[in-house]
Amino acid sequence: MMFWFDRHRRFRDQLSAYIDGALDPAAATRLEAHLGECARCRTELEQLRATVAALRELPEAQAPRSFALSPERAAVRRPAVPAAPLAFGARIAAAGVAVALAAVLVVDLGDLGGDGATEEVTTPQMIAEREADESEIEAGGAAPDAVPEPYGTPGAPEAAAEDADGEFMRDSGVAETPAAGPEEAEAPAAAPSDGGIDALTAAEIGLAAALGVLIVGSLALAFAGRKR
Amino acid sequence: MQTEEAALIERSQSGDLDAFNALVLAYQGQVYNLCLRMLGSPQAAEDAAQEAFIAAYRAVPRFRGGRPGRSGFRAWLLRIAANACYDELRRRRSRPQVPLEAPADDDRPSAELPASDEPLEQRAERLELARCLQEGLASLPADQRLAVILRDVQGLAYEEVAGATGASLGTVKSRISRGRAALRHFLLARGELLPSRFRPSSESS
Repeated sequence: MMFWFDRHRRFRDQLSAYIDGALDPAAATRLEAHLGECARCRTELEQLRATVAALRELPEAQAPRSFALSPERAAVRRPAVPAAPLAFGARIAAAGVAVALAAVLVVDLGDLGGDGATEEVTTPQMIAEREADESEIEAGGAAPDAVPEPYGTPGAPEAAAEDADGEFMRDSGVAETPAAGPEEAEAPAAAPSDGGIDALTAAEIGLAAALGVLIVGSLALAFAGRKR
Repeated sequence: MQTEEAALIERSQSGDLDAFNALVLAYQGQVYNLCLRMLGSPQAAEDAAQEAFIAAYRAVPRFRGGRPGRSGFRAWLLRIAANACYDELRRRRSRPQVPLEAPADDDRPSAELPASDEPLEQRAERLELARCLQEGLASLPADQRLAVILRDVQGLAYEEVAGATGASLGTVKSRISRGRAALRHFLLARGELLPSRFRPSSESS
């Protein structure tokens, strides 16, 4: 009984596809055999067909007016169009800079003997690359979702730019603290081995710290660009 | 036709507004009707359609048509329109004082029937059926409503519905199946699927 019910239900679920001829031939043959012996499914099929026919016959409304865009309406797009490729280019560039700096930093810190730094550097680098990839996908796939209010859009890109700047400043400001971390951490380690902080090591540490700040800054820029 | 459209798309992508507006005129009927069936209100449909075309103009430089695995321009455009409808539905949910089925629009010209030679009684029946169907559509979950409208009202193939909704083929089939089943129940409960009522008007005439 249960078995019959399941089968019956499966056939009922196939009726819609059957109407569209979207059932594979074997399944269609089985369904037709079932329809031959099941009056309920025949009735349901007829009613579904009638429903679909009624939907097809729904009157088509005339568009109440032309939706063609006036040049003024279309001009709303102006700030967005140069901004989009620019932002994308900036993102790519920022990611590239981050990767390049990371490579330099790896070599640099490698000289200082900081093995742990390698891991910490490659991670943000990979994130930067992934972000760049994702933003490319989003640009195509999520385009329909990017439906900002048509009104007030002219101001939006500027606001976004300010926002991005603010974020950049904020992020790089915050970054100063962790970037200074390695300097303090490395200094005692480097100091005893050389018997003192000679000028070269100090310069290298300074350079490393500066590069760290630049990397985080570039990443912040990449993130900000992603938000447009 | 196909290549002409491709040329219009290409020109639109480089910012040619006239070319884009030619595409608007070609598709505004379908876009508006999709919005009308999704939202049930001509005013909301007009707003959503306009919003969709503005969004499409901004997004068209990023449209990648004709690539394998990518859907065509119509599906892309209808997807933008569907998103504009979802935005409107979200707005309604956050502003509940807006009635979901705008009753004030009952005497609107949406049921413009082309047939003036149709017997009056039959015409009234079809109008009643159309009104009932719109109510039934409004009762469906938005995803099912969208799939059923695209497939049955607008006549898109399953693949194109998938492209216009961003759902897989299996999901599309199941949404259409469930939506149709729910509509069947809806019409049945209102006596709109009685054989005497339906068959003669659609098959014998």
